[in-house]
Amino acid sequence: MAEVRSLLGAILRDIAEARVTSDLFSRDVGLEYVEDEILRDFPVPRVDMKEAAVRVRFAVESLEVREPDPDKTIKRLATERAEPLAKEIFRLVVDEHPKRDELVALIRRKQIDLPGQVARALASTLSELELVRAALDEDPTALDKALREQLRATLTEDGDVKKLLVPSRSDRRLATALQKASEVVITDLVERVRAEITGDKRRDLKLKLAVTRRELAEVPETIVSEISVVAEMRNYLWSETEEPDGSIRRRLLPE
Amino acid sequence: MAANVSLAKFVTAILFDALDAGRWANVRDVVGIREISISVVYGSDDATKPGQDIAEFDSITMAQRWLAEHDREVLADRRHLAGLPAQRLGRLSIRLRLPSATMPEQISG
Repeated sequence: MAEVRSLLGAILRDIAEARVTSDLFSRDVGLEYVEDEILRDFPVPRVDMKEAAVRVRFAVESLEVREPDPDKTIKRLATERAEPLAKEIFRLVVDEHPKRDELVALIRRKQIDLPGQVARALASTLSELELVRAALDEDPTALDKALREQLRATLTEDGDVKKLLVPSRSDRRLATALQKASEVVITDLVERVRAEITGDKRRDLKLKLAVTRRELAEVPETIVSEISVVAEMRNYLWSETEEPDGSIRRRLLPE
Repeated sequence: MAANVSLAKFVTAILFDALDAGRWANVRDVVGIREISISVVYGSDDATKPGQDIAEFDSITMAQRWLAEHDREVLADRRHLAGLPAQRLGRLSIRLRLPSATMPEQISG
């Protein structure tokens, strides 16, 4: 017995791996070509896979009602969203700061991983289930307070960075940026958690399928169902981009 | 095990599971699902004659809306279906075309 996603997933993974195996073969062939006086002028054979189509026949072996688990969703999204949200916070607090260049230079000189520290602080605060549950119930006050405190502590941990971010007691710039950052984080998380919980409720049936030749042998042809999937294969190329803190990061961009 | 199930939930479960296949197998960055076609057999345990519907959609939301409008209680597992006469069996065929933008624009290295 199999689940739809594990069955199709395994087939799609095999297809992706087939492409890798093919590239490794092309590399080996290329090395042989380059050493041959005649073949070195020939193009190296390479499989270019753009699309794959899969067709699976099945019969439903069992159906179970699956209960969604909002707490699990919150914890997973808290981790998943921490890094992209940390970048947004970095943009709000550092990139929009009038002394942005000075701040970036300082962070780089002192080798402070500020986006990383903010991401860890976010992941920790957003995993506080009580706070997020309250925000989902339209009361984000406690989560907002915890976020602003935690972010302030993280961003001003280094004394020199703190002097630039909060030059005087009366300077409200950081407080304003953190208020905006907290709003962005809460809106993002709450919307995503709600969307996922709604999605989970829509697919609250867990299906087990009979798919093997032996399993289907005892199923009458008239009750066999079918699923077909057309998948697109994507290739990536390495590219170097500059991060908000000035560091260079390698990324894979689609061909 | 559930005997009667909502046809909409049954089909949606298959669609979402198929859409989730790339993520489950950790290949969603290189393999993006562009089209899903399902043709499911279901049964009716009363005298209602089941249909032979065929529908095509460009988004999962449209498919869900259509399924909700055409929802009914059906039998889906093979043990229940095997005992039904042919006139109590229906088939629903759905084709869902998706934008290839389901894949990320970049991967951090």
